Amino acid sequence: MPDEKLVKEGVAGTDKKMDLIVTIFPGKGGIEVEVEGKDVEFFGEDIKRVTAETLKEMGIENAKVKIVERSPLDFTIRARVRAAALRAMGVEE
Amino acid sequence: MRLRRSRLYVPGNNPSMLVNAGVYGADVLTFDLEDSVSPGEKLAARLLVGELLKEKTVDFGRSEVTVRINPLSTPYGKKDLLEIVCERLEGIYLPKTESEEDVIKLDELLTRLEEEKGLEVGRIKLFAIIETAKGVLNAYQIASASKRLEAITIGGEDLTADLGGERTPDGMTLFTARQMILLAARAAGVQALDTVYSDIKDSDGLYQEAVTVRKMGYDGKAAIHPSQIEVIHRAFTPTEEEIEYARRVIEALETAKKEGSGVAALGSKMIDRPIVKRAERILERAKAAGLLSREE
Repeated sequence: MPDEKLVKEGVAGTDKKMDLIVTIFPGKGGIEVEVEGKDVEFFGEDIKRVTAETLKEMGIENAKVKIVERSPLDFTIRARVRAAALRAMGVEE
Repeated sequence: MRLRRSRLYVPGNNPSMLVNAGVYGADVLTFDLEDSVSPGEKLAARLLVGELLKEKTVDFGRSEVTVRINPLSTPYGKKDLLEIVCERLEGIYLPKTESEEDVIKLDELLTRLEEEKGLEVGRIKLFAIIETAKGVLNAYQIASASKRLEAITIGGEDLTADLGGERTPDGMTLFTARQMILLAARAAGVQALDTVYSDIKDSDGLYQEAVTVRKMGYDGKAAIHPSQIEVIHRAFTPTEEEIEYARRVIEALETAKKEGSGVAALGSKMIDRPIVKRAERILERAKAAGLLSREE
């Protein structure tokens, strides 16, 4: 799936514990990920890595991603990134 | 068939509830993509449950892992299936089941998906939730529609609404439907599972209702809160007297077999097939509750 398919802002997730809110915007020049939250110091890099891997698996090479985390496990990061990206592509529920 | 005394519904869009679902000892976990998920969150919940099932580090204990998908008549049902069918999924609950065609359609889709994904065909079980008057009247056809189908269950809230009634503490509104579901399940050789008890603070009411349906013949009851699991297990656990009686029935049967006698008796009472069947069921429940060793 080419990244030109990111046509708008896509959001997924909640502010509940063990969750995260992912906001994805169409981008240029690779994948940029910003992470906020109380565990950023310890897990910020892991969250960025899982986010970038998930987007690449979807064939997305360019995107701006903002994340607010509340200590999610990897499966939750993957699920929220996928949901936000699909919404940014205009995919229906 | 597997023991399914308690079945906990877990909202499909809540990561912490999903991750912790395995710690409560429910016989069955049902990750829900239907009623607990709003239309605007269907995609997010589906992907969350799909990713959860692929995540091997999350432990669900000894619980059977199942998902309640959306009906196949909605835009969501088929997408749910595509995402969740995987090695770890053990069963699918189909809501609003009204006819055998609903089950056959799901079975066919599932078979195709299993083949595509290289999974063993037929391993994933099906469970039909009946929650309309039409569904109740077609219960036997539904229960007999697929080899994969292991239980039918009643969706109490929706069925009450469909009947135009109100749920009352004595359960009268659902009495006939419960009997019909049970008759259909037994005639088709599958389990009958009861609906949820909505008032999570009223554990006495839950216990009474669970005991009532157990005495009717039901195999289990659904829960919407972890605190309800222990109450349901208690209601489905036989009393000491029942266990003792069941043991004596089985002993008498064994003795009669050893002695080559065609007829077993306990005191002055003849032990026939239904009595043995009931005794076996009591002992099975006692084992599940940890009251007997597995060897007994």
